Amino acid sequence: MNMDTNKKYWKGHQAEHSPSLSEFSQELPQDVFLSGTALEDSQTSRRDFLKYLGFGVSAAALASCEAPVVKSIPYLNKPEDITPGVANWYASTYFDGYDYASVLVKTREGRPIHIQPNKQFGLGVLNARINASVLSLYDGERLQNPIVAGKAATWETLDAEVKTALTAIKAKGKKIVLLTPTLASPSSQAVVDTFVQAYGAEHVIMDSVSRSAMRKANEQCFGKAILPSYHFDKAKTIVSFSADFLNDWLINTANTQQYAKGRNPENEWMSAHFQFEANLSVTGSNADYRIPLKPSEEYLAILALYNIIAKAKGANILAGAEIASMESKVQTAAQSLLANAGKSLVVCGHNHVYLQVIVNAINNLLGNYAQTIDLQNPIYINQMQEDNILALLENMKKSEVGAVLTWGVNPAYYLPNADEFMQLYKQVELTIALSLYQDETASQAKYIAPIHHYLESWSDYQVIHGQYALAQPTIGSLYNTRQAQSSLLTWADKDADYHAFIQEHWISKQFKKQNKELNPLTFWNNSLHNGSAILQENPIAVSAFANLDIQALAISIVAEYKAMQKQGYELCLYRKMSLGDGSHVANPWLQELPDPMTKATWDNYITMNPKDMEKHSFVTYYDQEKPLSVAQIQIDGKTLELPVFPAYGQKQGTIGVALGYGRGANNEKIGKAAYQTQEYGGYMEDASGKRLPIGKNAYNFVARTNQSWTLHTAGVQVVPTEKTYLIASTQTHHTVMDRGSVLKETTFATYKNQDKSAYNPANTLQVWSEEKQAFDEINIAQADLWDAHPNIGHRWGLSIDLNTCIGCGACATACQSENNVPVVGKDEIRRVRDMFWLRIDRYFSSDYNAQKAEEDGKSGVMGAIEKYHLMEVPSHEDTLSVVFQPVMCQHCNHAPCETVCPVAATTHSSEGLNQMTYNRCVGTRYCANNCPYKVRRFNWFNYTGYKKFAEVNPSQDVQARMVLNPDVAVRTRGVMEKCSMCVQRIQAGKLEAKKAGTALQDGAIQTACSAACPTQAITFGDLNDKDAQIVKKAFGARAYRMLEEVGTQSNVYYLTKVRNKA
Amino acid sequence: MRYKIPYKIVPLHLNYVLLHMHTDIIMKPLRIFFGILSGVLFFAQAQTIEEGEKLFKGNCAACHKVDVKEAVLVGPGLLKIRDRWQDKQELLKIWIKEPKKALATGDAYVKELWDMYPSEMPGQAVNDAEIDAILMYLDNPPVKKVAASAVVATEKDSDADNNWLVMLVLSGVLLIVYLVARSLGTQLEELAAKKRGDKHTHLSIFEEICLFVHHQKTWVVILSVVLGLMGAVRGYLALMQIGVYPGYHPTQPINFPHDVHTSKDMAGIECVYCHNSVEKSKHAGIPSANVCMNCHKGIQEGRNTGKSEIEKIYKAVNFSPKTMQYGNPKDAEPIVWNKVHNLPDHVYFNHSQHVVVGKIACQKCHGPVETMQTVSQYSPLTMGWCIDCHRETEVPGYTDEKNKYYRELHARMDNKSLQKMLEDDKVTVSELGGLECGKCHY
Repeated sequence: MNMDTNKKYWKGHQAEHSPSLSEFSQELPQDVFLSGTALEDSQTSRRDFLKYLGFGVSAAALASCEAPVVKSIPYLNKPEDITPGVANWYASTYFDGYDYASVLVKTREGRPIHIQPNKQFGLGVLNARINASVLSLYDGERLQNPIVAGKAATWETLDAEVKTALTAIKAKGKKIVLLTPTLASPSSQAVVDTFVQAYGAEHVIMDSVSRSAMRKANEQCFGKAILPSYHFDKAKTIVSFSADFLNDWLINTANTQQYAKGRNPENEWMSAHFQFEANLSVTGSNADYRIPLKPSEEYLAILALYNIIAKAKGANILAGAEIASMESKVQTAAQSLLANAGKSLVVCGHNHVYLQVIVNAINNLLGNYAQTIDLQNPIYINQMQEDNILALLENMKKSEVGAVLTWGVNPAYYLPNADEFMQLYKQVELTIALSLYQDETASQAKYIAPIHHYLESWSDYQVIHGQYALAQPTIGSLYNTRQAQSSLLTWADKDADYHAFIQEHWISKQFKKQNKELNPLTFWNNSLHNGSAILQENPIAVSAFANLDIQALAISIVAEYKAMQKQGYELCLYRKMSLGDGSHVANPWLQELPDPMTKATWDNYITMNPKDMEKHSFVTYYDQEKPLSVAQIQIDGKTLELPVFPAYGQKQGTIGVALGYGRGANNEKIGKAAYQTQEYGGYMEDASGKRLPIGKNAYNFVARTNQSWTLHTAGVQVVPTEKTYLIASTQTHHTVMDRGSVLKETTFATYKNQDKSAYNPANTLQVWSEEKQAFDEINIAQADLWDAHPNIGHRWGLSIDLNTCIGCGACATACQSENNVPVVGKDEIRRVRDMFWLRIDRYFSSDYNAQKAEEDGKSGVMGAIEKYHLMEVPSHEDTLSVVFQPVMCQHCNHAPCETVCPVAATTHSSEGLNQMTYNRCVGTRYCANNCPYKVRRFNWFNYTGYKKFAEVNPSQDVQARMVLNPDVAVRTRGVMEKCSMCVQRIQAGKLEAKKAGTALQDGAIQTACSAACPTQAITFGDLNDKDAQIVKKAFGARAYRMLEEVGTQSNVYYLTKVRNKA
Repeated sequence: MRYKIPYKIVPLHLNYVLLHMHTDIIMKPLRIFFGILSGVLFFAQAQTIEEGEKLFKGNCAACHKVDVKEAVLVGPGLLKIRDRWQDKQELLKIWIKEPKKALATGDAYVKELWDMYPSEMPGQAVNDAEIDAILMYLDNPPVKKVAASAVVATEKDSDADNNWLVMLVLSGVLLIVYLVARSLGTQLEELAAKKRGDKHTHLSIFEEICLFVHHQKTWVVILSVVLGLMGAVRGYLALMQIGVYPGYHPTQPINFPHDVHTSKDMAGIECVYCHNSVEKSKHAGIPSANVCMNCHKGIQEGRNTGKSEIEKIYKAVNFSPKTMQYGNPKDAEPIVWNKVHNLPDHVYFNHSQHVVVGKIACQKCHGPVETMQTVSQYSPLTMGWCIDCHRETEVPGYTDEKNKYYRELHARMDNKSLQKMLEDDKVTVSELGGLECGKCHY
């Protein structure tokens, strides 16, 4: 075919006559793409080529419009209780030795996709870690097969070899040791006992963080090494020394629930909360009085508190000049305690036996036992005793140990002396790991028996005395894994059916502890249905408070205090709300969840007071382009290099480092999201090609004293380095800068005794009145440019109680899970392109306001800049207070975003929702610009496909994609998205009511955030339903709308924060 | 699914008795009272038949037809079955509920039935009142009309196709006539020129067209504008049809005849029997193979394709029709159907909303499936099509006094909205917010 048109075109004289003139600095590599004769021989000219190309493209475009054939595969034999498209909910229990909660697991077509608290039965309180645990089920990096000597094997091979090896070691008379975390599971304990009996083995409990001092102290005081139940809901005064009980201390979910009950200002009383701590913790940020102290100072403060209480109660006073110096710090707390003696609570987070004894003595003097502290119904969390671990190490050193089985523990990562342990571990003849991942410990084991995820497992628990719980599988095992209990039973030559075992155990042991059910099987079925059962257990008998030599303890404590007064900083290790002890490191939802205090994501850092940072000339201002300084901390030859984060509220002279980071230092297969990624995808690697872990492992900084392992150390040196490090934070401003209508805060006394205008004044507007010839003050709600929306039934709204919001972030992860919110990774977060539909703003208090600035003469143009700069700085650490404010789309009735959308992609519904229609959006982003609350999120990338997000976004994973909620569209690149107020749940709830022909019950519909909130701070409801809960809250005295003066008339109401302080 | 019968059943002749009573002045109010009562009872009876029909289709239709005894599906046809059992009505009930118990009574007729049909009659989970309703329906099954609108629509479409063909042929003929005439003219001209001895310079077609255009500028401009506009309109309409596939008719792995299964004069099974999640879920659901096996364990030969298609079900579930046994379920193979009605992923559509709340018949969107063999897409499934329906359709529950949801909604409504809504005397889906984006897109 001759396509040549034989036409010549004028080329322009420059091309012919001045060949040196070139647009390109380099010669185009023409000969590369013109090499070969095919092109020269071709009769096809450029124009022809373009013609055919054009035709081809349009033809291809038209052809691609042909609908792809969609396949549909129904069940062959449909399970009776599964209806495609309808969710099934199963009651189960989450317990990992750290977090404990009764959960409801939402499954769709057999896939667990969402976790919600089981508020009806059991401890229905969740935190972010439990919410996000559903995602880890689908982690493709979990162990998928048994491993023998580094290679995938069958269960038969593994079982045969393990049994032979165990029998041989037993015959040799060497020790077989089974390491587990705190099980708190009666049937698992029975399985362990069976195994222990079969092989004469030894069972050692190992937790990531020890609370053994409390047990030891209680043993000394009451004769039993137990942990009592604490009742924060009954305490009118709560004094905490470094106990981060809302996040980390004992059963944090139970504490949170109780704490919130005592913090309701609508009640007659509201608890007064005093927190003494160095790091600004979640708990400390919620305190009415937060007194920053170094850990060593806390030692004295506890003694000083004892003295004041003892003086008032007529007990002996501890001698010591140092103690008296601290009395002024604890005076207010002591007076409050004395005023509420018997209805107060003193708790201490230090793993220090003497301190815990003193705290017990204080509680005893106040008469708090049997009131707010229940010794007779203890809790079974944190059972690790350091002595047992040390004894094990001794035995290993003496080569007495022939086999070590690790089940769900990771000593190679979190043991403070991990290196020593692992050296000995490698020399042990037989090492077996029962593990989810081929982690730091398992990768060194000879045999790995992969275990089920908790959503695939059976289990029972008794974490609180008499309160039993059951966990059941909500999906068949995804991989070739086996329940750990079944493995142990197999190796003990027992029937491996753990389901049968647990059922039999439950019926035989627990059935008799109740009299409600008469049929054992019905009892089992009902317990399983509810996920828990409260059974009659005999209370634990304890002896009366022992008469201990407190003075001797005090002398020892004061001596320790003196010893801690070294050059350098006091280091306080802590566990973050997101990653906890590090077991969730592979969970991108948790990695991306901003820390409640620093709002930093995907990272570990040294928290340091900005004033201290200035001494070292560290950078205190950071943003998306400005990096932080990196410093090295040193003690006893141990070093750790991390960026230094300016942490307001951190006690001067102390630094904080989070545990739970630096997992996978030797490139273990612990999850895709556990390693640092590059700007355009792929992992960051060191010179040897090893992937770099996120953050650094600080567990070896855990101080090993004779008595117990503590999380704080004195005398830590901070050495600056030349390096800098970019940090990704979702909030880089700290205060509200004297803007009155963002946050409202008052005291309990004001709220109870004064008029609304004192603590929640209405926003007014001055309007010129023609009649009066003067300005009139009118309520802002009356001034409106727009007509009201017609009312045809519902008007959905949210009320958020700033008083009970503890800033934990459970709502944010619940939202992420429910609404398929994409994970974007550190680099995008740093560029302020986070996709959270619900964020929690954290504001520090600042004393500096416009009035003060006026007095200082900071006005005028130049003065104003300085004024605003001063306003940005939070107040001094001693008076620093924190408010958390969850912010989602405010669903404004007169939404600024709606009026600017050129394609009407965001519109208002007759039910008060601000709707976002993704398929209509063309991505102009006008709406985001016009949103005063900055809650709109733009899809800059195709997060589910672009290589940059391959490591961080779970939707790029074949398995993890199964966690997506099928009722919510996955948004594509180039469209705007935002909180929909869980419109899919609203629609589903309405549909149920319509189908049944019943009126919609208040509370029948819950948004993901309102359901997940552990303190019930978020209430969802119909503002047009006059009997609804939300109406009482949203139209109550404390309610206000954020930035009301803008006139958006939002449907989200905030309730004024109330502090119980003078 | 089972239905509760809200009314007690009373024999009809009560009405008759009342009519023949003495017209006493005292009796009159009583008569009126009983008249109303019997009216209610009659209504109750009509309702009962309706309930019975539902129950029959839910429980019995898989194996029995509403036809004479000889019309065997799996079991015999059940029309007027009460007549057959005559004085053994109680035994009939036992037979329905617990066939083996009835067999144990040693009744000859039961024994005969038991032996006559190869498939065992399973016990039905229905109570006596429900059986009464079913039997009442079988005594007097109402005759229903079949919608015929769809057939008309398809005919119209084929008419339009014919018109195009006629036009095409016509223009072809005209073109040929023109070409013949033109070549004749040219030849004549050439002949004349030869006669005159001229050297002929005849114009090419292209040159002729140019000349024509040159002379007829105005008309050509008008014509091109008109043609251009027509082209634009047609092009726009064509583009709007991208992704719209009414009539999409994929081949299916099993040539499943909907007409045989659903049409009244054949099996007459209700749609909901197989697509049973339609009332509960957003998906109507493709029936699982075990639902097919409810009937096809017995019916091993179809009327159209014999054994070949039904055997595909057996293969899928690994069932041997010879031994009547299921094999290892691991060797079973799911059936991969081709989905006919596809909505884009960004649309949320809920079947139960439309079927239960909207009370819409399946045929409204899916067309006369009972006349289709394999199903093809009937409606365009465009957003415009959805919206049109939402604009016109009344919300059936809104006027229902018993529907507390809508009562509550109605009570809250402000006057202005209510007045606006009731301007046309009906409350449509759109007036309750059914046109808002967030109702289908989230």
